[in-house]
Amino acid sequence: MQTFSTSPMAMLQSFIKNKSLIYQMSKREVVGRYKGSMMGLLWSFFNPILMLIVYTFVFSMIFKARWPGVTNNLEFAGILFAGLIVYSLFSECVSRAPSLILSNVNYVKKVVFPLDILPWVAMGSSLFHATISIIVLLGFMLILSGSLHWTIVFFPIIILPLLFLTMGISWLLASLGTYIRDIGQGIGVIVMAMMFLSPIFYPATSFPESYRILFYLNPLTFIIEQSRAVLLWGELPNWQGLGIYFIVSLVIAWLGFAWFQKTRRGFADVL
Amino acid sequence: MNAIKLKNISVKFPIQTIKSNNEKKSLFDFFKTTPEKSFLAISNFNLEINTGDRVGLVGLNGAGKSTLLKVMAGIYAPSSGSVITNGKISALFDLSTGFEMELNAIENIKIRLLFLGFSKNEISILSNNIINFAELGEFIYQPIKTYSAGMFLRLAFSVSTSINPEILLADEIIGAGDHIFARKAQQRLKEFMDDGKTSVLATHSTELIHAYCNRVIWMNKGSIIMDGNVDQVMPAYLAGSK
Repeated sequence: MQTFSTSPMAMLQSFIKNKSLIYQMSKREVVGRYKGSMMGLLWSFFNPILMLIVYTFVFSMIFKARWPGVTNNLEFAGILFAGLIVYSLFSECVSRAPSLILSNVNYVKKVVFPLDILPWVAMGSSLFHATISIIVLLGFMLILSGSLHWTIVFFPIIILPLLFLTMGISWLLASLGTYIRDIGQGIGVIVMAMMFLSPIFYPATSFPESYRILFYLNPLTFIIEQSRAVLLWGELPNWQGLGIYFIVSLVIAWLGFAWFQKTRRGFADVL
Repeated sequence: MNAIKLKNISVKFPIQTIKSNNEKKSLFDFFKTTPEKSFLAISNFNLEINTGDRVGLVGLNGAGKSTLLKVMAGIYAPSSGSVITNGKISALFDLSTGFEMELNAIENIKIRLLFLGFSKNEISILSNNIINFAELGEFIYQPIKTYSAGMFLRLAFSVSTSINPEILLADEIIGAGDHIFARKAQQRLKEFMDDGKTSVLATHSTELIHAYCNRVIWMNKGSIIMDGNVDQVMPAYLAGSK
């Protein structure tokens, strides 16, 4: 029986060693999602566009939400969408995490499979959808204002720490969710709460000051604000904040991975 | 040299009791270090299998044969003791062993080879071999959920034996399939064994034991009753387990 290393190096090595498997499985998952539908992969394109339309209509026409300094409804849609892209990337992975092992019992009980890559596979397919959404957003911005800010090149650097944070949480939840099935039930509400406690639909400044600490404790807040800064407003990233965030998220990723590795031997007993 | 060495292996399974809707209880259970009840599938098991041994595992249902094979394959972690293996292991357990039902045979082969750690070049060569050996014709493009038992056997057998393993672990499946494939499979097993490779087959078929094994281990309730050559163990097993 192999022992599973919990070192930070093992976390990266496992990714590098299995990268083509991760790629194949993510691809399969993306294609599989649209399998049998007539428009197929085109749905990955239509979905974000339709989402953009629905959110714009609901929040600007019905709720009359306003962003300070933004008068144009279309511009508001862009702000909303940028926030939602970042949020979806996180929420898709995290809400699926508790059921990852449960839905792949074969990989636990029948074969020797690198189980720790399952969260990476979920991440791969979410990243694909996020990329399509970003393209839609940039296309939308281009039509709206006729040009794009050069600072969009920093966007991947801003997303990177979020990826590690998401992976850490996913590893933890994938393991916990296998032992305690209640986690899978509760995670949806928590993830939704994180949506409303982040500056997606309204700016941080309109959040009551006494509760604003909650807002900034939400790890999505910083990334969403930074993403908007580089994508929409042509501002440079907050390098210092990003650096600290990155270090913390690496530590969280490693802790999640270590927990997963420590507990995975027991999966077969509870499935 | 030992191909497989098991030292003081025990495998415990928690006995899954149907819990009522009492959530408190199940949460409480989780924080306990030892489950309330457990079943000892394998107890204090010591076994050395030498390279080139062709071992047959016999025993009544529930003797622990499959569990033992899964421990050897590294799928189950023993509750205590150590497992040392030398050489690449290929496991042929159930027919649908870890295949993805929605995918076709080619995709399944590719994913399997990827997680076994083969490179791109090796994968393209190996998957051709596998497809040729399995002889599934046009059905390799069909999702494998549509496969019959015989087709599963063809696919699973081809995959597990084409990857050039040094140790083959098989659980009760060889012998299914039509006579044409059976002959091909036997031929391949013969070649495999003639190469001096190690195999462990769990089976209820006396015929298979006589055809392939040079050592038989009789198991009962997670322990070895008898370990020796075919002519010693088989009569004792058949007489003793009546």
